Amino acid sequence: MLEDERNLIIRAIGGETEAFGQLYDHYMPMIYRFILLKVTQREEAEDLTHQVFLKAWTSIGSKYSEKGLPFSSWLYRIARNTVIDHYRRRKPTSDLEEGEGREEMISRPDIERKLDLNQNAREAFAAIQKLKDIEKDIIIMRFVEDLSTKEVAETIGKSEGAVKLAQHRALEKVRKIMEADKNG
Amino acid sequence: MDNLEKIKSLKSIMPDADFASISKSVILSSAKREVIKRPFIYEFGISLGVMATAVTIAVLLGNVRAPSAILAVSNFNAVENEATTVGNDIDVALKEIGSFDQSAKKTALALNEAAGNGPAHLNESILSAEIEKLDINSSSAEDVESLLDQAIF
Repeated sequence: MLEDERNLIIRAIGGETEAFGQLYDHYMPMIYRFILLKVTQREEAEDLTHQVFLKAWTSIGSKYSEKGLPFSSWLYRIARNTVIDHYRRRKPTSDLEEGEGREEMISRPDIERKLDLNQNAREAFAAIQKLKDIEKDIIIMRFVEDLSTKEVAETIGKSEGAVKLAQHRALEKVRKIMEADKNG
Repeated sequence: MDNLEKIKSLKSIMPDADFASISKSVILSSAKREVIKRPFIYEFGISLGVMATAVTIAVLLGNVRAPSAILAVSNFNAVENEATTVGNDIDVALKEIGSFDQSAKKTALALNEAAGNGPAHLNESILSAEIEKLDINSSSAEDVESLLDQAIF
């Protein structure tokens, strides 16, 4: 959490661009990573990240309540919805909750090279792409962005128990995928 | 390195610095944030609307009645009697107007007659004929003459 975040949020709600600018600087890289690991294309990720913060800035006065969600959870929720809308517009007949079908359409080695990832990160990136969307969201938020179980639960609208269970199953899947990739 | 560490290494992914700078400036400069404080007239309009709706609902549900309506219901008989009296007065006035109308027509007719040929009893030839027939010595004639004198003098 950003230092003096509450004060920054209040000032941003009041329309102070400088305050929202500081929130942008702190949270934008996280939201960008989250979106990039889901859409896998840098240009798309930039475009969608821009949309997320534009929505946040234009609606922080009316949609965000400091007594409700943590600010990070609110941003991740906007990001999730923005990605879902993006795929809905692009592929109206696809199953939005399943990641496997979408992953087949992408030339993965090419993308990983473009992202300039080291070997370990490439392996993790490849494994995450084979998870379901909800599992992918939980793994990214919990282990890449270090959000608490509570924050993740609030973002995806599930109980903390459900998040812990899904997290355990997703990690088990990642382990099997990585072993299979290593052996294959 | 275990799997969890490999996943955490994805944190090395960072947005392009140019993208971050341009996106931020575009958002903060061009996006117009929703106005929180609304103009006074907007709030006034809302208040009026809410008040009007509340009054309408209250009247419809019968919780509030206009005072005049209450009076009208309680004094219904008195009002009815008053209306009957006024109606009778109007009938009398109409009859009087009818009588005046007929009198006015008769007066107009007599005036027209007088203005035209003049009264028949003032015609000289008729008067002369009457004088010749008149028997001034008859008792009846004397009585008539006397009455005429009384009437004239």
